[in-house]
Amino acid sequence: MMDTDHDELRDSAGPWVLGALDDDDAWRFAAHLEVCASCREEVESLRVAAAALPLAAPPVEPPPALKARLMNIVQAEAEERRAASAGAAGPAGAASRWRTWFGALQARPALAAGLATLLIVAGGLAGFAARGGGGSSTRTSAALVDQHRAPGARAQLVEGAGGTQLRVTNMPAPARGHVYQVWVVERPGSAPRPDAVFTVDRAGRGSVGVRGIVAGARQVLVTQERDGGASAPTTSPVIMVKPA
Amino acid sequence: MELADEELMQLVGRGDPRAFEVVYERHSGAAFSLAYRMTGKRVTAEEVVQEAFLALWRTNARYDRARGSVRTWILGIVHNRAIDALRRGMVHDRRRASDEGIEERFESRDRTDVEAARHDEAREVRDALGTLPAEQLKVIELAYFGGFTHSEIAKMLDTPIGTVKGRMRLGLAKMRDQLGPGREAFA
Repeated sequence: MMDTDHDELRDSAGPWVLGALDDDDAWRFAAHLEVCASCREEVESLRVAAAALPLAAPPVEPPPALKARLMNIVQAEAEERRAASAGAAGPAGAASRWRTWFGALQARPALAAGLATLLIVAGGLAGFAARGGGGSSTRTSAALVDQHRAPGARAQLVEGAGGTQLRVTNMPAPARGHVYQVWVVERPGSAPRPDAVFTVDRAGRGSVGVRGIVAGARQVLVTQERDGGASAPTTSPVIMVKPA
Repeated sequence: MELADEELMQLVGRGDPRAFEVVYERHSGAAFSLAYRMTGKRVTAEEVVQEAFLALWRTNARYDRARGSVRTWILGIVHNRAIDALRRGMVHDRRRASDEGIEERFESRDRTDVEAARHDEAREVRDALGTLPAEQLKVIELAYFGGFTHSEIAKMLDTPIGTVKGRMRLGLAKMRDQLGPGREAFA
């Protein structure tokens, strides 16, 4: 039985390294890889070929205007970051924008009331249920999810030796031209630091590595932003996590 | 002295636009070629590459050396973004850009050594792909460049799912053998 399973699953190594397995098969093969050294070797050896594939694309030069556009954005944001870090005492900068945004949220009763409802709904489902990990080095923090915008969605933040991951299930795909973006709020009132961006698969599943230091952070948030992400949140959070 | 990609990524992580520019110069050609090959449209390819490089810049470049070269990492981001674009339906009228079919080539700049090496590598990879039986090449191209899942490909080709998976695995194994030893450099 095991051999039959193995033989059948072994062929999944090809689509696995190409990222072409359907979700169910991907979960099944991922579980098999945990216990099958031979398939892990096969995956590693095929990965060499898969990694070479992008080079087979016929060479096409990007237009100079693309670089000009990108550099304009990058230069402007670098300048903004410098100004924000140099003028922490001043009213300008991302921190004050965040406070303004949060203030606006609190000043809008309907939205604030909606958010409170969402917190209760989500709290009923998960709350800030931090688990200590039962002796393992992994810590899991459940998230509050805006159940109006993401009905049935769940999220959790998993901190382990290999880093921190935000995992979501049943999340709706972001609107066209948008992505989900992670933010780390280090201290009360501090500006959320932009972190990873992600989308979800057709089943609403997604996971993303969180780069910022989460331990001791006040909150980890997820907002929907335009493709490429933003340097400060422009929408209210759809997910909020208080790290364990 | 020229900085290695890994050193540049550290500077990008600290918000250095000049380091970002060098990374862009080194890898935007391969990135754009991949995005264009996948989406078949110049405008969409530009959007994909812009998204990918902005994500790299805005997320402070979460690059992990253990996962492979900077180029492989960037091309992985571009690949994922292009698949997102395809699946979001940004490209309604997808046409496949093939070696013969590209009409929107841009004038090549003077080739730097890096670009010349990239062109040599590209030829080597295309040669390796050229040795594959047509049915193996087809499923690999549909999966990698088309962003289709194995079951979508099985339906498209009216072929059993197990056969499609097997062709992908055998094709990649043959390609790896053709590329020969030392090709870990690709990863």
